[in-house]
Amino acid sequence: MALPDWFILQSPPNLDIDVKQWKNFAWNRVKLLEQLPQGRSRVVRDHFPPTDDDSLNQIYNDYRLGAYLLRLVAATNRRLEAWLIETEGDLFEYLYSDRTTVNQKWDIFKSLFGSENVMNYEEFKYKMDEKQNEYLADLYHQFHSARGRVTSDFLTCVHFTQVPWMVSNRRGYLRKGWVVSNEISFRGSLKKAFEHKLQEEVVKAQDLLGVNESIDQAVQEIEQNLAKHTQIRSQFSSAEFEGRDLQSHPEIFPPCMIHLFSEFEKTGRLIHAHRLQIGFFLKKIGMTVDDQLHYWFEKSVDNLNVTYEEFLRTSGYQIRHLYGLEGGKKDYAVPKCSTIATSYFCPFVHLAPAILFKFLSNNYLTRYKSLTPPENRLERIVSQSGSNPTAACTEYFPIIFKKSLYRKIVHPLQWARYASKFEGLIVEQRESDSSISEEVETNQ
Amino acid sequence: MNRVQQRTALRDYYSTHFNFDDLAAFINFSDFSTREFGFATLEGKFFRNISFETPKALIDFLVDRTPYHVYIGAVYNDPPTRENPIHTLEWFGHELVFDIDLNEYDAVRQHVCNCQGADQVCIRCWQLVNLAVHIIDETLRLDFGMKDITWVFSGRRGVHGWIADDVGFTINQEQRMSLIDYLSVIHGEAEKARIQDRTKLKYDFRYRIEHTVFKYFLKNVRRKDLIDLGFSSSIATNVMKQLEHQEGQIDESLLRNFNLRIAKINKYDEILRRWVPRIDHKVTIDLRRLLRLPTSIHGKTGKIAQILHPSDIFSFNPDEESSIFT
Repeated sequence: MALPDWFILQSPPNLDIDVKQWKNFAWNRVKLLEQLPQGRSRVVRDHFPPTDDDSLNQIYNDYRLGAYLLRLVAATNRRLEAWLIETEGDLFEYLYSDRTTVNQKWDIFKSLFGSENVMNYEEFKYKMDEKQNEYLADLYHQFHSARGRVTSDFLTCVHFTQVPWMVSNRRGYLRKGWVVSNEISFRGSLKKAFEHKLQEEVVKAQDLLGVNESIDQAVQEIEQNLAKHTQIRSQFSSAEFEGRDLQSHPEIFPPCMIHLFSEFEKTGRLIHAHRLQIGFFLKKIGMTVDDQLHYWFEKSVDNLNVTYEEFLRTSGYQIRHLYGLEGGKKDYAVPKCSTIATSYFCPFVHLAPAILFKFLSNNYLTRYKSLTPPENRLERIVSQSGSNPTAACTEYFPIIFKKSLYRKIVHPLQWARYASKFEGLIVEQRESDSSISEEVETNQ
Repeated sequence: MNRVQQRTALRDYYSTHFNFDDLAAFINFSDFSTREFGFATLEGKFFRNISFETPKALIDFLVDRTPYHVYIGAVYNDPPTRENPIHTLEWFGHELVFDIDLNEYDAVRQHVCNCQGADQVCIRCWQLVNLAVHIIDETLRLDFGMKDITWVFSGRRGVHGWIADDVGFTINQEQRMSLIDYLSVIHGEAEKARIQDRTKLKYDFRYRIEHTVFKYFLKNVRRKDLIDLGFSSSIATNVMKQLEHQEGQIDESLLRNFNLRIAKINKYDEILRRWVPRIDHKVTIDLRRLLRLPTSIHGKTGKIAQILHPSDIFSFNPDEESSIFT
């Protein structure tokens, strides 16, 4: 296999080196990863020059050694693991698209998806006997005539089990279990596969901990110095909502919750998944278990002729379960938007266009905000909702709060968080919060 | 039939008619002892986390205890028991299963048949199930390369499609969900649920969906359905006459002709919304799901969850199935 030298998921490097030196390699890697948010092109240009100079091999080898030690560090701390996987995934994505030859790309495909799950188009045609197949001819035509097609792009076939996102979104032609598409369209799935494999390597790395004292000490030092990164993934945590009584401010609720609440108000009844969706959300914005028990007892039509004590014994179990007080005693999180789109309720996914338009323009906007909805923008949102519901939701946010968002809305609590800040319901507390708010302001 | 008689009927069925070999043809029993089973009793109690050493032990249990419902679950690293329930065990695999149930069509069934109430089933609304089987079966074979698909009557108002291909046994939840997403052209259960934008469907799949749906629609259409859709009464009469003339045979020219008429009144989505497959996705994606054991008895109806052979899937009529309780 001709994997590129920068590719960190190769066979383990030679670890017969001085621990101090190894620690330095790890720090160099950390510095490189920390530079990524400031500008990926600069990192790629400065650290990974596009030449075949042999002297670079040693540098890339040191990078790989550094990355290897960081895996040991990540194995000791779940939040660091998340940060490392996300950042290394980003770097992989940049390097893959900017610094990889066609042959190397092909080998990366085989390495990440498994060689039995990848086929080139000629082999596929031969195996499937697709000469007569019209739609593959269409695909070929589409591939060769696509505007702006990159010259190094090529057709690839990957087994459907390796690229579930592409199957879900119908981003390739499926034939006999193989997803056929151009190389560029596989990049997102390739990045996911890279992150997944890196995660497996982090788990494996745990075996190396506790074997050598000096390595353990180095790992501990790096972990302490990387503590700031453990905060990175906490932006959707509910700690900031605690004790703020946000359940009485429906104006900060995301559209999915507003729709479910109004349905519940109208009918007094919701299906199980929708009840869960609301229940998780109320819990995370700070509603106590007792308040939530009273809420469901008072609003649900199923409770007519039922005493509160009886309700506590029956339906109360489910509500206490949400709070991790029953059953498996797990503190459940609010599902993210992609999960909501498939298993719960998202108006941008589940409402027919005409009803969605009505909901967005009349119901949602005028109920909690006296705004005049710009029809053309709403129409654009509705037309976008079919193919990209999260983008539609993100675009809807500024219509209500008159502020643009730099980030996509990918989680209901993210909407609630931004909304409550703009409404002045929660005050910025952390450094990372203020940076988000600045981004928002500058994008107006 | 009272409970004692029902118990006798169940015992008679499991001791004389129940044939385990029929199941082994499409369910992987190589790890039989570590597979989970579940049961509901005549008294309404439900038990899961049960496993059996051998198929004979299972049959003996069925004959002895005569459960009302029999369920089969996933395979684990160790036999599930009350002391070692499934959440403490490592999951090894579960057949890929698709559940098509008329419950999912309740919001649109009034456009297809005259059934009153959720429990009623007639041969007209069963066409919705037939159509779903048709499209899902063909798509799984052609697009996903599945070869071994068995359809089983659920015993009441639907069918289960069991995929015996190795790839279906070990795939995870995300991969199962991707199949559901691919096969689902409709998002949600409501009557006005959103239909997938046609331009986002790949040509072959779109053709398969539309061609099959319009074929089934025309085969089962009533004059009032055409009027409801917005056709003038003269066109509706013409279409009905033509269908009568062709004695239910829907050929390409009739389909093309109808397609053009539908395009004129822009009612593609309306027809698709009423007819496209609606899959109960939770059954497919839940890796630890208990499903009715094929060829067992559905406790409420007393009907056998029988395997539908490919040659007579589409002539199957659930209403004609006899119940062991009558």
